Amino acid sequence: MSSPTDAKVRPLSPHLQIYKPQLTSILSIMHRITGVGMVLGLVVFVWWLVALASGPESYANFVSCAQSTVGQLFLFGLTLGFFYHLSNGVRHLFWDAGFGLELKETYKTGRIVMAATVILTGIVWLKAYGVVL
Amino acid sequence: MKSVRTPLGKARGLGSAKSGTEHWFMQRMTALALIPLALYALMGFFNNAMSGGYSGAMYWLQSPVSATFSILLLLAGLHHGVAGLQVVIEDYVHCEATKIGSLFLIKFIAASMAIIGTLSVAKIFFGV
Repeated sequence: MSSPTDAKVRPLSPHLQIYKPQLTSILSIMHRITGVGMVLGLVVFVWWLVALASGPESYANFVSCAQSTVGQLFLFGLTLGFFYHLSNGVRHLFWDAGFGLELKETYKTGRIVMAATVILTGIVWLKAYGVVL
Repeated sequence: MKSVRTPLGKARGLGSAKSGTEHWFMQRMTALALIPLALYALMGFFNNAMSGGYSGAMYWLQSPVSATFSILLLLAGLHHGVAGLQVVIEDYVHCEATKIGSLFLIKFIAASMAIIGTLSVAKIFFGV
């Protein structure tokens, strides 16, 4: 009989380092990462509300932060994350309702999500810089 | 083995934890609500704050509909965010003390953000 102190080598599930990245797994972890990013987006939203409630001077301060190079890069990243999490969230809701669970469909909807993210982010930023609309 | 559960307990089917689906269900409900709320805020921001600056943003949030939807966006967003962060923490933090501490911290921060944001919208709306 084996005792609990026996140093037995138990089988391990595949480590991430040797697990081949696939579109589905990359999009899955991206949903989690962008979700955490959206919490930062909410912090910015509250910051914006507080700045607006505190008067024109504090609002001007917020605007100058947002319009700095770092601010613009951060907001661009937030926009990308927002449209990704939104599109992929819709994909998740369809899964929860029992649709699109076949392997081929998950790849197809994954590509749609990536395209939607790029297109919607592009529209918003081209509009922000007055290039379109 | 003979079950020791009462007939009422079996009918409710909730197990010893007495809950389980609320977290999952509310995450989906807030997700659904956030789709129109977030897009509405994005459009409002573009049409008022981007072009109109301070006065444009004030004008937008002084409308009852925009003020209401902004508060709903904040509350639904924070609920959804906490639900998500909780799962992330439970997945990756294995030290019990750190886990419970982090869960407390994110809920405390989210509650503070909810109140600060709501008060800000109220201040803008009532123009005080």
